[in-house]
Amino acid sequence: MNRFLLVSIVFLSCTAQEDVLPVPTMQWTYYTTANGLGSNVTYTLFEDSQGRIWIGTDNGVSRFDGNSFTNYTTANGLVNRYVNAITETSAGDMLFGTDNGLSILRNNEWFYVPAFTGVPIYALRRDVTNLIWMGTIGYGIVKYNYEGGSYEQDFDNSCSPCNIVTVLFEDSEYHIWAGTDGGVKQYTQGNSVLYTKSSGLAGNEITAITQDTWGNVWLGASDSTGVTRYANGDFEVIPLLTNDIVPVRMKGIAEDEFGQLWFGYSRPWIDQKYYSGLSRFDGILMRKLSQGPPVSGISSMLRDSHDDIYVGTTSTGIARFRPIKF
Amino acid sequence: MKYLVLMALLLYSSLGLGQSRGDSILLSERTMDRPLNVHKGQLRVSGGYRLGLHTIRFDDEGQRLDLTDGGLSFASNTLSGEIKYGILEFLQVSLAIAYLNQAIKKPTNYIIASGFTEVNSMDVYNGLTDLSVGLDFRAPFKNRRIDLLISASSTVPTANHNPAPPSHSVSTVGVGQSSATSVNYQYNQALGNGTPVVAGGLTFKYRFDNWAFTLAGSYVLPTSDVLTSYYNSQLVSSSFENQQVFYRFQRPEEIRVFGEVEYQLFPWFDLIGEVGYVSTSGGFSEETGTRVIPDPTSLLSLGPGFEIIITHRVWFRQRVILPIAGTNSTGPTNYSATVSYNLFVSNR
Repeated sequence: MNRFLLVSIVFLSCTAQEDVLPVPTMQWTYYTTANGLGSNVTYTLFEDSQGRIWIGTDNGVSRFDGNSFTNYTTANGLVNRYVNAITETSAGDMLFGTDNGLSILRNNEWFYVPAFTGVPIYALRRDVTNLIWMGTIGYGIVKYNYEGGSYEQDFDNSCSPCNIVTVLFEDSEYHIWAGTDGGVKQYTQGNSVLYTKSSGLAGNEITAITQDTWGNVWLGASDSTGVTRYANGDFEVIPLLTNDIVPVRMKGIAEDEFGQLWFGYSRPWIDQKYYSGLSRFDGILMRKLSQGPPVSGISSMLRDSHDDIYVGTTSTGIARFRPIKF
Repeated sequence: MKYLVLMALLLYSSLGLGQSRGDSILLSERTMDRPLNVHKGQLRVSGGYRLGLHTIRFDDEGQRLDLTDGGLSFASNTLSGEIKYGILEFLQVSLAIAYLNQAIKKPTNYIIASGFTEVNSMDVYNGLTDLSVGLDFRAPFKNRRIDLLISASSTVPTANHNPAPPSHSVSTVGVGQSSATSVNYQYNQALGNGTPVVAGGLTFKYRFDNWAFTLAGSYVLPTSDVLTSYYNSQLVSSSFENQQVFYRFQRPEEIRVFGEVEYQLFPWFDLIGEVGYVSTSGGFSEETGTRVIPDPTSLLSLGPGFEIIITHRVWFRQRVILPIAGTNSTGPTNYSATVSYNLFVSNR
């Protein structure tokens, strides 16, 4: 019997089965307010130079040392309760992007930068020269010289959605990638190039960026059913194979120790609630967890220095899993 | 012509291939009477074939799983060669090597989204194993009913312990108005240990007139961990790229116990019943600082066999080994056949 005839029979005889990645075989650990986390609504994850995990939430920021949480809120000196982005300076100062500007934690003392008051900061990235890049909502990109105190705004007059910047990433060749609502900008020594769907991207609203060990830059979008791989100057769209007609909101990409890429996203359903999806790409094939990850509303992902992957959610705190090679 | 005949006769006699004292020893020994090692000056060359049918698997609780249900059964083919030589009446050296061919399938998955995708995956083992070198000392008991053999062996890392790049493939075929994609992962696994693996053991045999009982045990230990590798692959524009990833690996330790009962039905025909137990534990793989220790495994098997003395120099042995119980391992049903040729390369 022709093999593909056989495959067709199997196809016709079974119900829609997307894939069979065995979720239970991966060890998941959950952390919520019951464990000391400041809030179950989380926005961002960051590992500092001491291996501590910082979690930006809708009620300040939490620091996780592997055993317990230390929480900081506006009562401690945060400029705003909504912490959307976190980074660390070369001196070890912690920077927090909030809905109302930038907060700084230095030697257990809180500061803020008056010049950025009122600016919603949704992305932070320290580049190789120690320049702090800030992605804002409506103000474009701000390049902040933390040592000197000066800053420079890069506002795009020709592309209004390009001034909504929700993710920043520096690749191994020191290009800064800025994910915006109007595509992705690639900065090379101060000059930027904008890539959009017409350039080959899966979507225009770029909300997650990472680079894998092959050197590929991965772009996740919030208006697409696929993910974009950038290699050698070319963009290639790889479908997420979620069976969803409507786009997903990809908020996290992490590569595990085995070279597998994990894509975390939310999937809208009929009742307009967002559920989470987690897909894995092994370099050849995208495969989705059949039952979805045991978390909901993925907002961010992070691979830490112990090779665990943290998943931030918008309603159930954070979760951590140990990837296995399939 | 007569010189050729003369040379052949000289060569024949120098190799001890003529009727010699060695031949008379071989002629006088039934299968169960043979000492556990070869005689001084005796050279035994054996070649064998083993077909392993892996149709069941024992899980971590010892439950028997039928691999044929999911189409996951597989076969292994092993060609083996062994040479034994008696340096002294109580001391022999041996060399052994094997050629293995097997493909272990993983469950086939089907992805139904934006078309139909069939995903197959298999690990392929194909090639020579490490060379094994052994030294056996037989206790010089005068009582011929009792035999005791002390064995020591080591592998020489002659086989490659790094796998070859994978042989993945992707094909797309139209099915009606839609298309089906077949993704085939093929990982080519290495057969070498990368380091000497030493073994020590003891074999005891007791003979009655027509019955004999043998009990053997050995312990197998890797001498060190090794740096080995696997491949990550990516498909870019219909072509595969491979990336070699290195990690440290140490194979598990092994305990092997073996028992055999023989009944010499005729002087030329020996019936054999054997039982074997193998367990592994320890070992690790370590890629990024975290050691992953594999689950311990065990396998108990038994089966019948026989040996026919075709001539005093040529023996034929056949066995069937059936899996009985185990944990974390496949249980192969092994059919094996071995032919041995014996000669004395020096007169005693």
